[in-house]
Amino acid sequence: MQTITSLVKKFKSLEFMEFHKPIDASTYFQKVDDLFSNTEFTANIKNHIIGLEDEHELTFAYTFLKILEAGGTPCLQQSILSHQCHYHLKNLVLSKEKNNCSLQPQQNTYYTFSSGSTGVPKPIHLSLEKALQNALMHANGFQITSDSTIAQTLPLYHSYGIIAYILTPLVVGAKLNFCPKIIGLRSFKNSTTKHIIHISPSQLRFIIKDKFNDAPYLETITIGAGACTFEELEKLQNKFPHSSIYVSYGLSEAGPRVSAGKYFAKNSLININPEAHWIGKPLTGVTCWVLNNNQLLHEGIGRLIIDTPTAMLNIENTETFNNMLLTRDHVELRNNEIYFISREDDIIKSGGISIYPSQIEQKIRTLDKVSESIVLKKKDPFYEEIPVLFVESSDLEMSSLEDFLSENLPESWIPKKIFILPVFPKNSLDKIDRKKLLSMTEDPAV
Amino acid sequence: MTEQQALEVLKDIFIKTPDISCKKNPKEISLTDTLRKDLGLDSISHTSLFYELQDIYPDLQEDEGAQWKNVADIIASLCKQ
Repeated sequence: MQTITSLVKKFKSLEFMEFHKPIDASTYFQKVDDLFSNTEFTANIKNHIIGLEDEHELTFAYTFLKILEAGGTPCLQQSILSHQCHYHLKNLVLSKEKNNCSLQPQQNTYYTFSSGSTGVPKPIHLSLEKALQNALMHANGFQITSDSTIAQTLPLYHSYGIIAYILTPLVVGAKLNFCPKIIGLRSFKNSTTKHIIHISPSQLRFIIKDKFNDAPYLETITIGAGACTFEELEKLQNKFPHSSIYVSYGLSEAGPRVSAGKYFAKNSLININPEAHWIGKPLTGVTCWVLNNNQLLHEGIGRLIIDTPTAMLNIENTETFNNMLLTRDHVELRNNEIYFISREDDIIKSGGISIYPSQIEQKIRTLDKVSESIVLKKKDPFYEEIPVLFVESSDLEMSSLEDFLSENLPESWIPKKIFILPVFPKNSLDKIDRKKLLSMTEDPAV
Repeated sequence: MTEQQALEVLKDIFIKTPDISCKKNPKEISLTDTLRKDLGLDSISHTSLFYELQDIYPDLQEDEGAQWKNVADIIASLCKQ
């Protein structure tokens, strides 16, 4: 591994922009260097957890590296989490706030937080060496090189932000353009630098809806942090015919990047299942499995197991299977391609049977008269949970739908309640309003 | 443009743009309202709002829009147009 001092030096040699204009980074670096030139200050950092809060993105990124160089353990957080740290670096003033802290300082490591499946933020302890490896895997997956300019539009304090916006530019020597908050793509129209931009599925839907079209210098668009459909990918590609479109998947515990895949409009993949949520193939060095009835499979449907060299340091036994990362995501593996099916929490457990809503939805969408379908779960005193089916159709008859379901689904999967609506209620983002749909099931007359 | 005129433009956009989900009645929006806490704008609504305003005022800059924290910030930007 390169020494942290050489990484700090390399970071200072990178090119930086802000909203597409070059910035003089030296003033940002000087401010931080002045602080860290104080030996008493750096002595206080060594072997301690150092909370790092919102700052200008460049100051944040550079301070992260300087804390590591000083022998501290950076802890990246939103202010809500700052009480968990021994020290709290705010506005670049170190103040001592000794509190009970479950985090363990360790040189050349750092902490981020995931949202956690229980709603309580979960600390993710990552080694710098593994993170650099993950950044290289990430760069290779999206073909990011020293010629690339990465637009930073997502926060830095997540595990993804560190990899995508600090360590990836470092390992490949790419330029970094800070464009926080504004997540549309209009400003890229006037850019004269080829950019790569990472977006979430929500951003993707916004971008598809936005009036703005092609930006020739938008070289690559990657989509992560959730699954999107081939239909959405096709719309994005049609809007941005000059851009390479990638899907990806990752989770903080894995370090975080796991898979990537380039979308080709003519790819034979899309002919297999147009409704599948394709999330690419494992990055080089990563192997994926599915766990089905306690059996590890290379092909098939089940809970995703990840064998990655970049997993977090603080994995608990409940999160592993045969020393590999046991995720809460259910996928289908086929020809080394990964298709996202459902989060563990979305699966309907009805009378001891696991039901995948997306599988039912996909089946129903094959009916000519159906424009959309959605399966939601509802609490039930007898079955624990039951699937409720909503179908958008103006001329589908209930009896023919019921016949179709009994011919095409296992008996236990057939939804206990079915609603056929001419139009689905939508929210402001033009997404189906699931809450409104579910409220229909509360009507005692139904 | 006066502050009052700018505020009317802003209210009009909130009323006419269903994509921007605002938890407050647009007619009651005031200069002191914060975008996130008082109006409930998420990052996507923030972007939608910026682009709607940019359609009217093409010289609005993204870096300025990204800094908006409250209604007064937006009004200040619009008054410069």
